[in-house]
Amino acid sequence: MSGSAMDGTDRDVLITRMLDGEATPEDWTAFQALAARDASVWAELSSAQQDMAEISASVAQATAVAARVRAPVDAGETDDEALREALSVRFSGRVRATLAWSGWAAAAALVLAWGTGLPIPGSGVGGYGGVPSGAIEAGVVPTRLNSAQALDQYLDTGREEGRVIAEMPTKVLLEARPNPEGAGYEVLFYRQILERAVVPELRTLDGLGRGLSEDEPL
Amino acid sequence: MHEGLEFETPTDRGLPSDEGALVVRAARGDPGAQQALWVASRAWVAAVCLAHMPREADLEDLLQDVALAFVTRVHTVRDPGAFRGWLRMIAVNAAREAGRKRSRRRRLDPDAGRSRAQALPTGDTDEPGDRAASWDGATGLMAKALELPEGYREPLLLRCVRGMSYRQIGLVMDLPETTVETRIARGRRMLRELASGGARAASVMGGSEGGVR
Repeated sequence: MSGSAMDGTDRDVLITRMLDGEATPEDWTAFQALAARDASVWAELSSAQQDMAEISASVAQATAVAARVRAPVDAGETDDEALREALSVRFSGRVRATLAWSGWAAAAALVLAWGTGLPIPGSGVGGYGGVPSGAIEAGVVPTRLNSAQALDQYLDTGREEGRVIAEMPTKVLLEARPNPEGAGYEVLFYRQILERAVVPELRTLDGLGRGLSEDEPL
Repeated sequence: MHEGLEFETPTDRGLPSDEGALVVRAARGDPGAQQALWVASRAWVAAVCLAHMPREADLEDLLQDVALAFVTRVHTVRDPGAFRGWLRMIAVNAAREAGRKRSRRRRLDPDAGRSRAQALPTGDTDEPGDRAASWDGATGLMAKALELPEGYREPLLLRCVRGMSYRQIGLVMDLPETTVETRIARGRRMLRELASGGARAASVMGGSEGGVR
């Protein structure tokens, strides 16, 4: 999409692509060119984002009842052992997405805590520079880990504890745009870490991560 | 600089890779596959119902109807690629049937339903403002979204379901991705105009129903 001659529809489509994470690098270039000529496009983008957040929350609330509706069949009658097993542990997309996000968030929180020295409840991690609590008292020389090393350590320790199962092989690309600092591209992505935990009860979350009242049938 | 990173694009997200196989098995009568397929589909089916159902209709009841129709008719699906469009039509028809039932009830009892909300026209047509209370409880921007012509309303609501991609919405609505994209973009524009009380949105909507592409 060209940034030079853009009518109203093209402008709306461009903003929509930005908002929906479907923009190509060319779209980003066009958007930057447009924004350079008309800064109001940023306000439009912001408004559209707020609108979608509000509607998405309403849709999530309205359609939450779907989690209660099962197809009137008896899943136990399937003659496929593998499928029955898969069904027995099948989570809804929302729950799965939430678990994936939780893993990512946990990793991010850990890296953040390592960088800031904030304690992580229940993890035994805290104190200065991300050194495990007690290490300084024990006379261990603090070694500052970079983020990749810290993440690797988190994964390794998590595996040993049985909390981390695996890091998913692919990262999810959110945005890609020309590198503002030089050659190449700047990419925004998130990692997915599969984790396990034992919890007393399950509750579904809507798209905004808020708890809903109905239990998600498994 | 990172090199050699592999990415899964947003377009790939949420598309169950085994859906085709599940459809085949569900059509053969495997109840486990039917349940799995329904569970994977019910969120977007709910959004389709929401986009088409009349006010006062109960979404959960409607979904029960759709789930029953799904189970009893899935054996007729021959092409797994057509499954989503097929299920969408069941949902749309169920929502419209709910609207017709309601219309019949109103003809027999003009006062029916007045206690629940302001009496507003049925959702069977798409005049601006016609569906302002299509979903009881809709307020603010959601109420405005329900005023949009259905050609714009449905993809916009589907987009709100777990961030369905244009491709996934296109599969459900049997539309090219570019058309989905354009409708979402125009729908958002109309919504903004409606929210700001602009008369322009009404004129755009009034002239757009036949021109949706």
